[in-house]
Amino acid sequence: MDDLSKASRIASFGMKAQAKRLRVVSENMANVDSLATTPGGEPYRRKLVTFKSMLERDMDTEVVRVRRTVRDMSDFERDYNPSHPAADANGYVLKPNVNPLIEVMDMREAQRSYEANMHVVTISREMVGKTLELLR
Amino acid sequence: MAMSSINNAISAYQSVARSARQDTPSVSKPAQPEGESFAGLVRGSLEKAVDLGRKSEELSLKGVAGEADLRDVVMAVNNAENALNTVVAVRDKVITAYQEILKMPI
Repeated sequence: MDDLSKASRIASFGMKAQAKRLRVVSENMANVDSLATTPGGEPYRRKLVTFKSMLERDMDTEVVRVRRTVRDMSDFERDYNPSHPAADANGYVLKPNVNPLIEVMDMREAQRSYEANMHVVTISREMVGKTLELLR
Repeated sequence: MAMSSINNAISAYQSVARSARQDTPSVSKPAQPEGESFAGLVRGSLEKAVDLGRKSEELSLKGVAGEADLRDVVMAVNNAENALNTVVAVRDKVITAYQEILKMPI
């Protein structure tokens, strides 16, 4: 396989990983108000993606993959709301540990990384095209 | 590259000349293996390009159905385009060389 084709293929793996990251961010954003349904139960717990580099055998290059999505084990916030069905004995409801500001930043980072990988695809494509131009 | 394309052009010319004589290739000359002749070269590379094109089409259909990853579809279509462009560029170059030879005064 040509190195330039390899480059764009590696970049496509990066794009896939960032797409998955954006998916997880959107899960977090969508569930920012997802509370428990039973008294004293746990609300939505924020998810995180972890990446790993992996050797792609048929290309003999290292590509990026999502290792797995893990749960953010930080503490939940509490709101005093005794009328809520999920309120505990003291009237407190646990809220998801999702901070929209952090999620927006994560989203931006995913977007930028996606764009960077897309740029690699564009450049390698351009280089292939320019090389073929030599024959004309 | 230039040398091999000229050789290919020459062998293509020879095969045309042979068919013009309306007889089977002489026994003394062994049949040229496929892939070394210009026709074989174009056919081989074109088949590969067509194969890639078919794969990209398959993936595009899957992508429309929402089964394939969008990035895989884009990559497959891109690969098919690259392969076809390469074949077309090489073919044009070799045909130009072949025409140059045909124009040669005998």
